[in-house]
Amino acid sequence: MANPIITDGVLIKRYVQGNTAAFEILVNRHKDRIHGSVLNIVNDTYLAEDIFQETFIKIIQNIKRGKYNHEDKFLPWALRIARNLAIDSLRRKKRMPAVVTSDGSDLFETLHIADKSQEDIHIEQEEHAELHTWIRLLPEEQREVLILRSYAQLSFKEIAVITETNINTCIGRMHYAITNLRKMSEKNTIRVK
Amino acid sequence: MDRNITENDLLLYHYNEVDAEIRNQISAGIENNSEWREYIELLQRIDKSVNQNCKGPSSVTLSIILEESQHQENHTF
Repeated sequence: MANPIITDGVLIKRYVQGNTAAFEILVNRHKDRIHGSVLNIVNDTYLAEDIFQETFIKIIQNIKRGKYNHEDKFLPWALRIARNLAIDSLRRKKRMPAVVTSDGSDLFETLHIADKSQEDIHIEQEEHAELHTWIRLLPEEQREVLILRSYAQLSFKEIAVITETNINTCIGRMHYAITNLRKMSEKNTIRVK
Repeated sequence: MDRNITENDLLLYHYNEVDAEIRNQISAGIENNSEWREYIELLQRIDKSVNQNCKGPSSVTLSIILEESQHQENHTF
């Protein structure tokens, strides 16, 4: 018989009691969802990495100070911290000029792409370029709900708490996101992959 | 009596957040409704694209976080 999964709440209690291995399990359990959500919101690999790190530093500080009281709702709580940090970063980024190359592309994105193999680039471009581009073009509020529902797999109720809205607003934003993606695919006469 | 199914119903159906009554109605009718199927398939493709776009944080970042978690513990717990 398989061992039952230790809940997030239990892991946090163990960490508070001094068991750092419990925290490592927690990080490994949720790292991809949190990092991926942030990356999809900010669309910047390096910024996402910074925000992800800052998120967990805040998580550590909050747990240590006894501010965690969400039992097994760790992921929505962590995503709320990450989301707020991401929005703050986007606001700061909008106030800063981008470093661009002669062809107008972002220097850091160019450097990142150069680190990948040609095969990786080709596969990524072929499979996701169109749809990913269109997702990036969505209004921020729509993209945020799409990522939190589709990637982070939060319920609309949980997303409403994180975004400080209500369920109907979240469902409406998601609906508009899907509608916009469908329109973009039709406009470009390319089938969404 | 069945009510008209909206795209919002299909959205909630796809993410398993729809009421049981509507779920049953959609499940019973989706095979013969190409519009519903196309909408659900679009949602599936979007999910797939979003999920394949993410590869997780770097090992360096994870090391910094785990080191920080131990540092905090040693000094303040």
